[in-house]
Amino acid sequence: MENAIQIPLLTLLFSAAISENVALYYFLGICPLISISADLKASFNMGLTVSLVMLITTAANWAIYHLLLQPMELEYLQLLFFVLIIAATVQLLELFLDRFFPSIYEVFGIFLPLITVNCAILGVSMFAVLREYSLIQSLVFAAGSGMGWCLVICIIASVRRRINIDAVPVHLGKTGITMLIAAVIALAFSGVSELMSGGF
Amino acid sequence: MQALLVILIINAFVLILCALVAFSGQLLRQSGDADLVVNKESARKVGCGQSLLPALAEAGIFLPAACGGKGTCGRCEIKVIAGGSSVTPMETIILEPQRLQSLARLACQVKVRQNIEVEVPAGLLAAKFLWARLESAQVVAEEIKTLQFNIEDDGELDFKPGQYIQIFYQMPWERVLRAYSISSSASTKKSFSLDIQRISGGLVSNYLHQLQPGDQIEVSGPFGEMYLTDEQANCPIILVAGGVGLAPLRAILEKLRELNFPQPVWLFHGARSRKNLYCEKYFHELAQRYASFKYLPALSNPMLEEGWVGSRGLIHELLEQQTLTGVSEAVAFVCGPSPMMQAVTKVLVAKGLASDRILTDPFDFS
Repeated sequence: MENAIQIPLLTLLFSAAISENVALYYFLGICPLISISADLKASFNMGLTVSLVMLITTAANWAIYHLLLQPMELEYLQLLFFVLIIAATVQLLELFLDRFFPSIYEVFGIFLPLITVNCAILGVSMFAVLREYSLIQSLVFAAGSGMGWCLVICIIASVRRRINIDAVPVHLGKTGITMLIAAVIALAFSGVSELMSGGF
Repeated sequence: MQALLVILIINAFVLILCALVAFSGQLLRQSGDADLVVNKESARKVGCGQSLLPALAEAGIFLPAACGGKGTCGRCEIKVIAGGSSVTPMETIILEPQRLQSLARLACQVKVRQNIEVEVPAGLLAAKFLWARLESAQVVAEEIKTLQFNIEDDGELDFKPGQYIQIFYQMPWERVLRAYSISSSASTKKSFSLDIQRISGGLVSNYLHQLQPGDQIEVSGPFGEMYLTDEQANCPIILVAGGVGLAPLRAILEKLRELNFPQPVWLFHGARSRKNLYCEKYFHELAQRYASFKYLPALSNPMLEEGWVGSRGLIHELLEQQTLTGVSEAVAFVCGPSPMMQAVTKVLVAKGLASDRILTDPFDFS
């Protein structure tokens, strides 16, 4: 996609965070979105962790792809390399935070290892490569995607707090109603993007 | 050729990543010592970067950890007065908010990063680390063995009847801990016996079942809040066991036998069929010899060929049918699977026994 190169950074950031939100538009990282969003504080911590890891791994994966895989014509190995990079990054980040920022490490706690298998992280790295973003664009895209994912999980968690006191039809269970909330938020997000492009 | 190159690149890449992580792990590991103050006594030096559970063991304090330090059993609960890391999500599940507010923590979840002050319950300070050698093993029922151990060197196990010990089992990649109740008399301090039921797929029960006389094991203990005090020994006693939950109650019964059963004692033992029932003959003999001791077994699923003429059904049903004189003064000890203990507790309360006089020891496979 040659035209992707022309995208202004602010538009890229906005579309990654809102109109093409990684969770609501691409359905990535849905598992933690549903399981963690029962508690707002945990959701915010998870969102922050995902954003941080997304930013680091997208940069690392971009470098691996463009400096190693592409010159050697090994693009088909990208999935394997990206997964390895993500696992190693999470491990290193965990060690680093544990040593130098114990308070942050304790905030992230159990969420950090869980991120290794969060498909939103892998998805963002692959999109960045697929759309042939430059390093700066990739970083902006990753930052936007992370912020968008964090925003969505926090909104869902806030709405779910009301469910605990409201009467929800029993057959919807906890997962069913969470999916419905996600659907309504998805509508709102796409509405905002229409508004910004002056579509109404 | 191309394929070989690809394999080489992938391997080199994995190797580099592993080396990077391993090297960083070494480099970033917190080194140095911290001062550990236990119960306001003088400080002891322990290594930083580890959890409090091994740090306390380094200082000679062995806490119970039936789950092996994974934060799921809640037995290593202590108080961290100062210098602890923040509460982990695991602890918020195990410990109620009021307990967390009163500084209660799980030792296996607290990381030692700086000088730390803790309060360990006095009952847990008595626990020691010991080596024991298997003296004899006897099959007492289907899949149940009574193992007799002698304590090595000049070590002594000073336990109360009803308490348990922990057994360490070293696997190539980790050290596993399991808790087992002592079934022998508390008057011998140089030896102890355990009743072990073999669980299919169970790590430690299988390991113990294949031990040969002369083999050594590592144990720590004694632990446990369910035990017979001298004061309680002079009350009527109700013992209710489910299956191999009989083990701690056997130790209590031995103590009462040594005292010649000063008060009425009832032993209810529930098992599936006769081949799961053990020590039946011994208890019948005791009941014949001592008028104040009653033995009441019940089988939930007796085999036809076993010719069982005794009680049938679940143990709490048999308990319900019995008239127990002086029940309100009694003390009950209950050990078995959780649903059985709940049912028995309900029956005992309905019979007029105060719930604080019912002592239980959860006996679930971890």
